[in-house]
Amino acid sequence: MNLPKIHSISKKILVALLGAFLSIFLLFHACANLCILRHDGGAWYNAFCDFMGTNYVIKAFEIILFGALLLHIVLTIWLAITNKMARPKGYHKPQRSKTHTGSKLQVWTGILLLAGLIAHFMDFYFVKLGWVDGNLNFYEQAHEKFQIPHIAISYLIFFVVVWFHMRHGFAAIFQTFGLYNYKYGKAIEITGVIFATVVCLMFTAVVVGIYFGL
Amino acid sequence: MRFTLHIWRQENARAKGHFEKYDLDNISADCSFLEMLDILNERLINDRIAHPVCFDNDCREGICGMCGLYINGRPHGNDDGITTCQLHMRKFKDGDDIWIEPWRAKAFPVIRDLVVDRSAFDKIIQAGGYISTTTGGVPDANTILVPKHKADMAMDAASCIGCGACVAACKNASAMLFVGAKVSHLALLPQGKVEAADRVKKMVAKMDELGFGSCTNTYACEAECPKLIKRQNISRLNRHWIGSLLGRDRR
Repeated sequence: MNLPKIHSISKKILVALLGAFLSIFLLFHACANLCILRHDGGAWYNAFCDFMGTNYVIKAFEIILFGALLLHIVLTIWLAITNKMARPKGYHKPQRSKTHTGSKLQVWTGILLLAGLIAHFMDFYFVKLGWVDGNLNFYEQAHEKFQIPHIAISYLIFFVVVWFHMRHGFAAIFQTFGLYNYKYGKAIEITGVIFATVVCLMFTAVVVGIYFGL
Repeated sequence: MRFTLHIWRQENARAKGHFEKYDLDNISADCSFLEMLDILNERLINDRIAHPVCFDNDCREGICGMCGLYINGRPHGNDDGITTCQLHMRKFKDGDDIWIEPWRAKAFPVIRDLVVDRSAFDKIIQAGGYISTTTGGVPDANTILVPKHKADMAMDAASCIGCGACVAACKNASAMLFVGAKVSHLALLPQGKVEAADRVKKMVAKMDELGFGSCTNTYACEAECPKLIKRQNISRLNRHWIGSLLGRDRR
């Protein structure tokens, strides 16, 4: 298979850069979602959704965001193919080296994330685009969806997958950018765990809050 | 002690290869792993059972980087910070099954049995892992001031013996720890710093050309390195790579 020549480290840097961008977006998304928990009949949240849906800067940002997501996935698949080609014949005995579980799970959590993301778009984003039937009042749509037990549980599982992906991704970004060193290595890993936990807890708060009517 | 060995036998680079089973008894617990293979080979030759098992070895004291076997799912066997020649049979249980495989990587083709061609590492070094000017004789101490922590880090990186365990352990057969160590031990010192950006470009280009995979941060390389070289060297390699992309070539 002849693939275009981009050095392996450059590909990794691009994946890390896009991952950092997507992580920042997730933090922003999680903060915005907390508006749902206000007991104002969705005034704040719907105003926010209207702004996001009508502002041209945001619309342009949306294209960049989806482009980043697509490129992140394409580059990861590309890296996975070249990595597979680097060892045409594997070992008979399974590997017993002490490795980071997060990294080995990263591809699988990525695939699960993509599946979860498509399901999430079916619930919300595709409704906005008119591709799927649903309530365009996203405050009401969220309340309808998250009060159904299996949907609420599915979202909670989805957030666990997001946590695993982000926890490893955070430290990996610093390593790929060459910022992981003897002095701050441990601090970077702890910050990664805190960042992933905070973001996922914010998402979880919305689902749990709606389900229990808090 | 008694063992059942499952050893990868392959006539030559083009042959298909298969596992051959050998029962071995009366092995001392203090015997080294390579001595155990020597005993097996003696029996194979004396009893005219088969050709001896080919495996790389040289110094047998953990400094040359020649030996390298994938033993029961780990490069250099079931211990940390050692080479295959430093592994002893007391690390196994009596009656154990031991699976012995060669390093597996596209860049390390099997030559025969457990011997692989690791000249890919030499090619990476030849691409830029050196200082291109004559640096002269050993200077007097403190003629060139080097901070202690940098000297220590450079020394740690320079302890890489190029055995290839990092490539063998990595699920992507990546040579990033090796290249990171080679780039680091030169770039950390004043004499090697001048060409650091140019060096990293050439060595990474050669690494990719030879078919090594890329790093996905599993750090199996760090866990299996017999010289305990740290992942921070990969981070430094990435940093120098970014620097080279930003035009920090001082030549």
